[in-house]
Amino acid sequence: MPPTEPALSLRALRKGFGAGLPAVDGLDLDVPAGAFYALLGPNGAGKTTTLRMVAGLMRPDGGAIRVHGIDAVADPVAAKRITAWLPDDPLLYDKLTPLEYLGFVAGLWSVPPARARSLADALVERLDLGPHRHRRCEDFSRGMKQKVALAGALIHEPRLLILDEPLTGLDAGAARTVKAILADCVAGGATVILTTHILEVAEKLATRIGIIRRGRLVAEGTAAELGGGGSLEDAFLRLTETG
Amino acid sequence: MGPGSFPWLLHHDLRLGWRDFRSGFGRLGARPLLGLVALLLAVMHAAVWGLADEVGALADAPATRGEAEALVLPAAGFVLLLMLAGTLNGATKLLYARGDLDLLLSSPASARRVLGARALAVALGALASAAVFVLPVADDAALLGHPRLLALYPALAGGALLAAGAGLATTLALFGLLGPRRTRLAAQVLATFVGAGFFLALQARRLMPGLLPAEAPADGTWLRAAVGLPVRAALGDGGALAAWLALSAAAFAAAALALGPGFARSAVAAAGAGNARRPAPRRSRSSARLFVGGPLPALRLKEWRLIARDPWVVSQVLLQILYMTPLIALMWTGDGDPALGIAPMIVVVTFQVSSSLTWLGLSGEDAPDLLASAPVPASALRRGKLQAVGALALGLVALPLAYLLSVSASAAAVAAVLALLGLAAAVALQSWHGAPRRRSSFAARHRESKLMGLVEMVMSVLFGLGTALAVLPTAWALAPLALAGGLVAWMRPRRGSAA
Repeated sequence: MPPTEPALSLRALRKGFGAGLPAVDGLDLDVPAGAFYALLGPNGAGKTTTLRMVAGLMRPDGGAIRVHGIDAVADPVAAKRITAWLPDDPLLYDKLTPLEYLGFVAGLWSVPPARARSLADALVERLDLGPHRHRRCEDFSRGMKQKVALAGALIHEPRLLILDEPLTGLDAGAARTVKAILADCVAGGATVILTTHILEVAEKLATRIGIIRRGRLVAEGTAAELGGGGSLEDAFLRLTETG
Repeated sequence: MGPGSFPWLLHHDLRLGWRDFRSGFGRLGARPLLGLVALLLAVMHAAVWGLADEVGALADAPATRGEAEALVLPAAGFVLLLMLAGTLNGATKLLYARGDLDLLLSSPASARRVLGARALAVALGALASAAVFVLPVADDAALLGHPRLLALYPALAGGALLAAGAGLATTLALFGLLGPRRTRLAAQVLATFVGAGFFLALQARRLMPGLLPAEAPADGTWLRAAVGLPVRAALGDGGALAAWLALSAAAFAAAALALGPGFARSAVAAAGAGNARRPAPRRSRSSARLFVGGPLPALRLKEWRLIARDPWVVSQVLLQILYMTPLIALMWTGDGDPALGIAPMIVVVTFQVSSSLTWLGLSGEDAPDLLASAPVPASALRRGKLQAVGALALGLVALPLAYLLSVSASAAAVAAVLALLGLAAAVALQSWHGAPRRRSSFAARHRESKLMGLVEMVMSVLFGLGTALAVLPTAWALAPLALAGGLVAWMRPRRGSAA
C-alpha cells in the first residue's frame, strides 16, 4: 500500500431511497491520510448516508469506496477492520457497564485481551469514566453514553475514525475532552472524519473541510480557503442556499 | 364533547388503544380487521353454544342454581384474574407512558380528569379482552331461551371496574414500596403471574393438596358470600348484581379519585426516574474476565450477560416453564408413566424458550450499528448469537432430560430429537419473521406480531401432542409433527416477499 494512498476515496458514489432525488448523487471525495476532515452540509445533504456507506452499514447503488486502498464494497470486512463508526445517537447496551461494553467491542474487533484491557483502562480514565466503570449504562446521561461509545470506537485503534455529530449532548467540559482526544488521534496518525452543524468546531479543528449539497461535493479546502477572506459561515450559507 | 372534557380524553385514550391493537396486525386495514374480529366472535358463539345451554338451564331452575354456580365459579376466577393482569399492565403503562402523561399533565386539563379518563380506558381495555370469551355465552343463552345470563354483560363490566381499581391501587402501592425504578418491572412480573395465577392455583392444589382448601367455603359464611357474589351476579341474581356493581363502581371510583393525585405525583416521579442514580457497586470487579479474544466468545458473553441481567426476561422464561406444569400433571398422575409428562414438557419448553431467546438474540439488538460496522461477517454474528441462545435453551432442559434418561432411554431419545427440532423451528421462524427492535420490546413482541404469537402457541400444542404420542409410542405421533412441519413450511417467506 503506497504511503500517499488517501484514507478515504469516494468515486461517483450514489445512493437513493425510493423514487425521489438521490441522497448521494455521484459524490467524489478524497480524504488524505492523517487529516482531520469536517464534512458539512445542510440537513438532508447526504452526509450521514455517505458516512454510513463508508462504515459498511449501507450498500451504495453505485460508485467506489476505498478505505486506505481497500475496496470497501468488495471486501467490507477488511475495510471495517481499520474503521470505527460513531453515530450521532449511539445505542449502547443499558445492562452492560462501560468496561463490559469495551470488552465486547474489543472482542468484535479481535483485539488481544491484554492489549484491550490496558487500552480500556486508559480510555476510561481519559474520558472521566473512571468512577462509573462498574455502573451499568442505563443510569448514564446522554453525554456519558456518548463518551462510552467514543471509547468503544477508539478501543480497536482505528486508522479511520468516522463520527456523525460527535459533540451532540456533551457539556462544555466533555466536548473539550472529546476534541482533545480526536486531535490526539490525528497526531497519532489516524484520520478523523466528522460531520457537524457547529461551524466553529469545523473551523477550529479541521485541517480540511468538504461541503456537500444534494449529495454532491460543492466545495473543499481549508477554512481560510473556503472563507475567501470572509467567514466560513458566510461561505457555507452561500454554497448551500437553495435554488 | 368539548376539548379537555372527560369524554374527549376518554375518546383520545380509546383511539390510542385501538391503534395499538391494530398495529399488532401489520398492514391489515380497519375493515378486514373488524371482519376478523367478527369471525372470531362467530367462532366463539358457535364454540360455547352447548355450554351456554347447559349453564342457562341450570341457572333458570332455583333447584339447580347451585350447580350452575359451582360450574361458573372457576371461570369467574379465571376471568377476574385475567382482567386484573390486564389492568396491572395498563396501570403500569399509564404511569410510565412518559411523553404522553408529561403532555397531558402540563396542560390546563385537571389531573384528576386526565387520570380518571385513562383509568376508565384501562378498565374498558380489560373488559374488551374478556368480553370476546365471556359474552358469547350470554348471547347464546339468551337465544336459547335463558335470558338470565344476559346479566353477564353488567357483571363483566363490574369485574372490569373492580380489576381496574385493584390494578391502579396495586401499582401505586408498589410505587410507594419499591420506588419508580423497580415498580415497572415488579408490576409487569406481577401481572404475568396474576395472569397465570389460575393455572398455578389449580396446579398447587393438585401437587400440594394441603396448600389450598379442598372444598368451597361453607354456606352462610361471609367468605362464601364474597366469593359467590360475582357468580350469582353473573347468573342473574338481581340483588347480587346490584351489590356487585355498587362494590365495583365504588372500588373504581375510590381508586381513580383518591389515588388520582398520588398517581399524578408518581407519574412525574416516574418520568424523572431515568435521572436517578443507583448507588455505586461496593466492590470493583476484576477486569480480567471482561476481555475475551475473538468476536464469537464476546458475542456469547454479551448475550448471556444481557439475558441474566434482565429480570423481566428471566421471569418470562420461568413462567413459560411454570405454564408447563399443568401439562405434566395432566399426563403424569403419579402412578402413570412419568415419561409421558416430562418428555412433552422438555420439547415444549425448548421450543418456547428458544423462540423467546432467539427473538432477543436476532431481533432485540440494541446496538445494530455497532454490530454492522464490526469486521465480522453477518453470518458469523448470527451464528454467535444462536450459539448463545441455543446453549441456554438446551441447558435449561438438560436436567429433566437427564432424569428422563434414567426413567426411559427411548423417551429421552425422542425428547432430545424433538427438542432439537423445536429449537430449529423456533430459530427458523424468528429468522424469517423477526424484525429489528429494542430489547425492551420483548414483552410487546406478540402484541406487535399477533400472527407469530398464534403460530408459536399452535406449534407448542403440536410439539407437545406429537411428543406425548411418540412416547406412547404410536404412529399417530407423525400427524401433529407433520402439521408442525407444514406450519413452519407455510411460514417460510415466499420468493419476492420481504423476510
